This record gives sequence, structure tokens and C-alpha cells, in this order.
Amino acid sequence: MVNKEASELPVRMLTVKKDYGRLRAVRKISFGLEYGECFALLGVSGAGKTTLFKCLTGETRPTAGEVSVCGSDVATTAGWQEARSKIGYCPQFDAIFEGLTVLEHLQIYAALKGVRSDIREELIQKQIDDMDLRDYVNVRANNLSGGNKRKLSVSMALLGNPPLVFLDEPSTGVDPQAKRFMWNIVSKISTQGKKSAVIITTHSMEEAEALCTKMGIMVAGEFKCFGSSTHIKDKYGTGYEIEVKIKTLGENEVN
Amino acid sequence: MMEEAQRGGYLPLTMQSCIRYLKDRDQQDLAAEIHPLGMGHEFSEDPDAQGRQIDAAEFFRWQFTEDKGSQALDYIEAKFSTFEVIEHFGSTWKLKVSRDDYSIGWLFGMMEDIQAKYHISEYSVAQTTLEQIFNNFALKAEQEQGGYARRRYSQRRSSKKNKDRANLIE
Repeated sequence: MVNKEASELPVRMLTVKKDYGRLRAVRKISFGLEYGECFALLGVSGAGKTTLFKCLTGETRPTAGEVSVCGSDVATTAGWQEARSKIGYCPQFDAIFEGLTVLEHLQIYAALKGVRSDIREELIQKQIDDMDLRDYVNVRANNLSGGNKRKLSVSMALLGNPPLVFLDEPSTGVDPQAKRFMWNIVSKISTQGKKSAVIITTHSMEEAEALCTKMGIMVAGEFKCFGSSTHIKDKYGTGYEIEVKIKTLGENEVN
Repeated sequence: MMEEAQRGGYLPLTMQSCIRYLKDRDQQDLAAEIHPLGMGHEFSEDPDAQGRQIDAAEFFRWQFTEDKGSQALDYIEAKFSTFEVIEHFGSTWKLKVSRDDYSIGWLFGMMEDIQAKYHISEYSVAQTTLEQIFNNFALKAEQEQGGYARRRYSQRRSSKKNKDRANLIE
């Protein structure tokens, strides 16, 4: 897929490397995603997930390699400007304004993202219903629970239907019911709508399996495996796990 | 067991007599675990407390569990082409075995058959999940960075395996 033209793919990374001084955070990573795909980036802390994310969003420049997002090279300033207008990003730590309400947040972001003013209100209302935030529309962000803050962050990322969505640990701190709700929305925009590509990082295999068409497990800056969950299971999970617990002897049996 | 130990002159138990007891029963593997870093570390004594008495009931319980567990493991190991101990703590062992041509139903059957023989109180059988695959990768990464404890155990198990093989050849 990497061999396809950059313009055809929403995400294309070619032999990307990123060093921090002597530490090689990302080593030679290449992959591509198509519209309608949802990709889960998995890995233990320090494996290089966030660095890879930052290379994609243009927050840092890779030491070597090419990164293109929707056909623009994010390493150049012009390309980055172009790419930014196509990205919806939900950072790992909620970037919200404490004094503003849920509605105000969505209004600001809709305006920032350049959503046409005549359809803005309609889209915002739809987003509120989609994310089940109706009861909290007029609640200030600092009074929201952790889970609702997370939902708000995801809504902000999804507003305006960006072709590429980055969600950094979207479901951390979200209750199971709301989590499933969120999964539905994410899979609606990616796999079902076929209009966006979604990249998420997560620690939850359950989430990766429920949502994603592809996943990559990163260890020490490299992909150890890459593919659909069935592919990974077939390749690396050949077998069974048995747990055995031996009876402990009672008081009398010892004698 | 306790009476038998009494007759054999092992009681009151000290580290030395524990080791002697195990060696007399041809359980060298277990005897080797009575070591400050071994599985039987609670029965090893630090040099300052020479001759400390060991709770005999505790010791026999441990010996029983380890012995039965090890027998069950040997039985299971012989059935599969690959076999690996993922974890062992207390009386629980977690094993990873190859799929070979066995169905999950067959595995349950096997466990039912040996349950009584090896005094297995509980067991579970599952297909490997993504979670385990992921953990496996994470564990490997950890080991490359010098994870100590688990590596030690798997080494022990594999050295035991090699020793068993050597015995067979003899």
C-alpha cells in the first residue's frame, strides 16, 4: 500500500525515523491507510506511539523519511498548513477551556474549522446527540466528569467530518456504556462511512478489536506486527492457554 | 507426611533437613529451589539465622503443590509440540501450548481426565487472545531491557527440560 501514490492515501509514511539525541524513538516505519479504515496503534508506554503521532500531525519533524497526510507532505510548512485543515485531533489530555460550556466549545471549534455558518448549528446539535452530551450542553467544562470531558474532546475532533481523525486514547476514563457509544460513532465515520480514516492509540485490546480494521503493535520504535486482528491472531496466537490450580492440602491431610 | 517425616528423622525441620527430605525423594528440582531467589525462598534461611525452624505443615503443602503441579505439567508438556510456562505463583500455573490438531473440546476432555489424578482444583482453557499476543510482545521488550524475575523462571523450566532429556538419553 505504501507503493501507492501519496495523493491517493489519507496517510502514508515511508521509512520514518525519529531520534531524540541518542534515543531512537521511531525506527524505519512505513505504512499506509485508505479511507474507511480505522487503525489502532498499540504499544507499551515508551514504545514510540506518541512520537509517531507527532510526526503525523506535524508537531515534530522526523529525522528521516516521508510523511504525507491527504497528499501533502507535512514536513514542509505549506504542506503542513494544507494537512492541518484535514485533520481532526483529540489529544491524550483534554485540551478544553474550563470556563466555557460544552455548547460554546463546539461553537468555537466549528468556527475555527470553517464549518459553513448556515449549517453550523445543525451539525453541532447532531454532534451533541451523537455523543450523548445533551444533558450537559450548558455545563461548564470544569464541572464535567472525566468521561464527559473525553467525550467532548472526541466531539471536537469529529466536528466538520475531517477526512483524517487522530484519537489519542479516546476512551480513557470513559464508562463502559459511553465507551460503546463512542465506538459506534467512530466506526460509523470510518468503516461504514468510508469517508474518513481514523487512527487511534489505545491500551485496550478490546477496543482495538471492536473498532479497527488494522492494527500495529509497536515495540521499541518498530512495528512488531501489522494487520487485521484475525491476521495477527492467526500469525502469533497459534495455541491455547491453560491455567491450572492445584489443590492446597487441608490441615488434616498434611498429617 | 508429617508422621513419615518424623520417623525419617527430618523433624524438626530446618533448611538442611528440607533439602535432605526432597533429595531422598528424588526431587532435586525442588531442593534446588530452596534458595533465597528460588520458588521455595520462604524455606531458605539467611546466614544470620542458622538452624531456624520451618513450619512443617507449610513446607509439606508447598512440596505437595509443586510436586503435583510439576507432574501435571509434565503430562501436558508431553501432549503438545510446544509448551511454555507463562507464569507460576502460589499454586497456579499459566501455560501456553501449541494448537497442534486439538480442538478446544479435546483440551477440556484432557483436563477432566487428569483433574483428579493431579489434584487440580480449578482449571481454565482458552484460545490465545489479542491481549496475550500483545502482552507477549511487551514482555519480550521488557526482557530485552533486562526483565529479571520471569526470565529466571523460564530458564529454570527449560534447564529442567534439558536435564530430563539428558536423563532419558542415559
